[in-house]
Amino acid sequence: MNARLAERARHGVLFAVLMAALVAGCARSAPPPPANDVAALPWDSIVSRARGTTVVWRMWRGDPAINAFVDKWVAPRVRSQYGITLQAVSGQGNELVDQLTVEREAGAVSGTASLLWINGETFGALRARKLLGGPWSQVLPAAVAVDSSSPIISRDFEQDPAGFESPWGTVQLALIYDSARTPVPPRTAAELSAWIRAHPGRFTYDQSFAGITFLKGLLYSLNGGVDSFRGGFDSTRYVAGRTRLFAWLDSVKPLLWREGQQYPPDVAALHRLFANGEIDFSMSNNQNEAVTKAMQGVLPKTSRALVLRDGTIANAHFLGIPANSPNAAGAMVVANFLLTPEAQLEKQRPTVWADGTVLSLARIPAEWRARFDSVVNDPRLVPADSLRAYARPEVSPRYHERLQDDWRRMIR
Amino acid sequence: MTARTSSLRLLSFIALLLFATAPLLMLMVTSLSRGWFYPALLPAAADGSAWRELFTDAGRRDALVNSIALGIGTALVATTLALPLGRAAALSTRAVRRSVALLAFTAVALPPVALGIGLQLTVLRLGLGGTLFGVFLAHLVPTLGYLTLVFLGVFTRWDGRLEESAATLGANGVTRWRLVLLPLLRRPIADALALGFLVSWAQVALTLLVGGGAVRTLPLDVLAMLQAGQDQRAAAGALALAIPALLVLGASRVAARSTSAVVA
Amino acid sequence: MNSATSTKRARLVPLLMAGTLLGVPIALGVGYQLAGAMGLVGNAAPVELTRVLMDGAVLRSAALSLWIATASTLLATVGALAVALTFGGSRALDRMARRMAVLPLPVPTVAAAVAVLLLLSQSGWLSRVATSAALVAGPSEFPALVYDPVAIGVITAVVWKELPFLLLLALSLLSLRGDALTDAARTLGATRWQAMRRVTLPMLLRGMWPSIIAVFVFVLGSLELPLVLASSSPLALPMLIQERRQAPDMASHGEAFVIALLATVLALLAAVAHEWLRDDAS
Repeated sequence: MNARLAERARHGVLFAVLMAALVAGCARSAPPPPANDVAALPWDSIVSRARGTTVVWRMWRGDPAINAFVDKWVAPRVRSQYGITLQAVSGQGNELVDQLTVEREAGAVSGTASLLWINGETFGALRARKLLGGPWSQVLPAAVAVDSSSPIISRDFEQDPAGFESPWGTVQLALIYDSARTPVPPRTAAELSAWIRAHPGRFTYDQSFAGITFLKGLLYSLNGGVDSFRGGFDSTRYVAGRTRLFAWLDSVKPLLWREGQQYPPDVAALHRLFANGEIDFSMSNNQNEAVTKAMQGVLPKTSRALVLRDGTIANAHFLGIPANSPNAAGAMVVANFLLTPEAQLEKQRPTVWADGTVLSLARIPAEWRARFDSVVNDPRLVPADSLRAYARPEVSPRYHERLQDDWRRMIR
Repeated sequence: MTARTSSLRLLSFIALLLFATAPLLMLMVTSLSRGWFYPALLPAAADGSAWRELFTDAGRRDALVNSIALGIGTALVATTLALPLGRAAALSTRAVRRSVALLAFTAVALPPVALGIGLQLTVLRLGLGGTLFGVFLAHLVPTLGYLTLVFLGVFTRWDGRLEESAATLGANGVTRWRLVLLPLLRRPIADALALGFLVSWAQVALTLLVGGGAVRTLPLDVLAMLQAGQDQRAAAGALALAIPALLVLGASRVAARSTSAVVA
Repeated sequence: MNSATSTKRARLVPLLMAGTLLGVPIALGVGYQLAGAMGLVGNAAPVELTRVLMDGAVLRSAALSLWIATASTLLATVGALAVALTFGGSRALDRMARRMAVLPLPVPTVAAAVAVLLLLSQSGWLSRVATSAALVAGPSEFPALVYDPVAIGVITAVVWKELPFLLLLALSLLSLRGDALTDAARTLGATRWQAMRRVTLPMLLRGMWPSIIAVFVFVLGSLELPLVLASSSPLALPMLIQERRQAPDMASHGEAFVIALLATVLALLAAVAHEWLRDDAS
């Protein structure tokens, strides 16, 4: 009996020791260094810290072409050049703000994501809640080539990135039409309005980003141009502008697809309607989607893009590092890689993504300039000078939020 | 049967045949077509790229593997837990049976979006946010509900006489389980495993909310493809979802038929 | 161990097990919804319950979801009964029909939704057939079956998927009790039609009620069906929850939690109804 008790006691002690070790092992380790601390180090030491680590990048995964660029071109190269394992997962916009806030509420020591694809209102919301780490983007070696004089890149929806986000691409809203069906498309908002009246039921816009951006562009052109809305959010100016915009929308509403009672949920549904001939126009935040999607077989080969002469919205997208990022060093190295001429050029190819570059061609080495020229001047894409001439920058993100909210409540 | 009723029956049969198979055929044709627009009745050429990509593309493969792992894990764990629970409840009082059935059905009936919102916060606090294990735990909830109801039904209609005879013949608990209960339970267990797998396999809202975009499964992939306008890939993914489900159900039926046990 | 303790154990054990395995997750899920509605967690601001529940958009969404659930469950039940009674025999045609009708049973909902979208949209396959047959001149002339306010596309997808489920149940009920009852009725002088109407159908319905409620509540809470097929205005209830959840402001998040609670309460009511009817049925 005594031997049995002794045996039991031994097992008990062993068990207790194991439990203690387990608990100690699971004890909270120190939080990872925030982005601004890492940014203070010399670049070489940032690169060596990043080696052998994993970077989880939360980005929009809604386009297989972009996913292919990231998974099959960027990831192998950052692996071979910097030893970083890049994992891209889905996450964008308000979802990111929500998740990071909830992670902080739950007391997580470090989050899951190291890098975020953000812009505009998302950036604003994250900054306001101090969910972004930084400043850090100024230390990236490739950042010297960025076209910082461009209003689209130096300001993100009128907000100053202030080193808390690094630019990596630009896009401009364009309408997409089928040159076979619509040989002479409308080129201004007034012509569009006349076209809609002449072709009832053949135009609509989606409820998601592209649709709201289209509406914002109309908001500018119906109210004296983007300058009326610069300089922060002004409720009076917004309401006056919205009244005119909604009056325009109300006047065309019964002539829209499904008499303006239903709207496609996202741009893919809009493309589907367009490709199958239910409507004659689609649109996209990326001006070259007509080309890339035609290559993927999603849009008919005769699809073309046009930018309205009243101006369409151009904006840049950026990369941010969350405040609770587990790997700020790795994130910075990846962000830097994406700014290199090599990555920017690849991204701009029509066969890949046709996303605009943030680099100033004057500041990159000469041998790259020629390659960029040939890609940018591809005859299938919207000509660069048209784009520039009609580009209008974004204004305060509050306009976007209010417009989306009011549209849902009053028009939909 | 008159000629009229018999031709009516034949017409109904054909209508039923078309109704049952048309959606699956549509998925099959779309998954093999590229740039198939209105008003073309048939695609111009067959294109197997979407199917190839399902197995060659790393992201699609991961989604497939995650779905399979979640399905098998959920089926096994839920069956193991629901069987004793169902049995204990069935052998108990009527009030207990009803309470357990109510709880189980609630787990099933709660809208996944509503439940998912709540479970997402739970999982985040446990530090399992965006992990496969977190999603697995979420999938367990409705699955346990379904399987508890299944076993509750099985054991309520149970004929305990074989067990009693075994007991009077001197068999102890373990032996009774091994030689009498488990063989009799082969069919219900097979059904439960199949159902458990299917419940997890088809989950959308729970995975979306609890996984937070980080956990990719096949149904989420299908939705992503659809929302990206990639109908061909979405159709291939949808069929890849449907075919194993059909196979799993078929397999469990075959297993059930081959059992030689007698169930009262 | 005497019989008193063993009965108590027989009562406690399943209750404890169910409590931990089922009760805890449900309590956590619902509990966090409540906490979110009060603005305690989930990046939400507390909102006034009555204001949200009286909001036109919420009421319209609830009405749409209830309509979809009711109509599709009704049609699926009628269809299942029709197939069970038409093809309930033992001939080759009957057996083939039954096997085929059950085919859609295990297909995941999202796959069914995608298939129905491809078939029924105004530029879908059925529309193309109609165009080839010169019945319609263009996509806009084909009736709007998806993204429509009546949710015909959603209802079709649900019926496709749930008819087999209810059919299997009807068939098993018929095989268990059908013949004995109809034989008795027939010997008492009832015609085939009378026997069906007064004996078989009521028996079937009584046995099917719990499953009918199960289908109803499943459709009510499904996200993937309206995500793929349903209209933008009004939004189905699960879609409205998602939209509010993903909005930029915290007030919308609070609203999302409240609407989620509403959906939960509806589901709980259905669970109670299910349990009450289940006991009657067995």
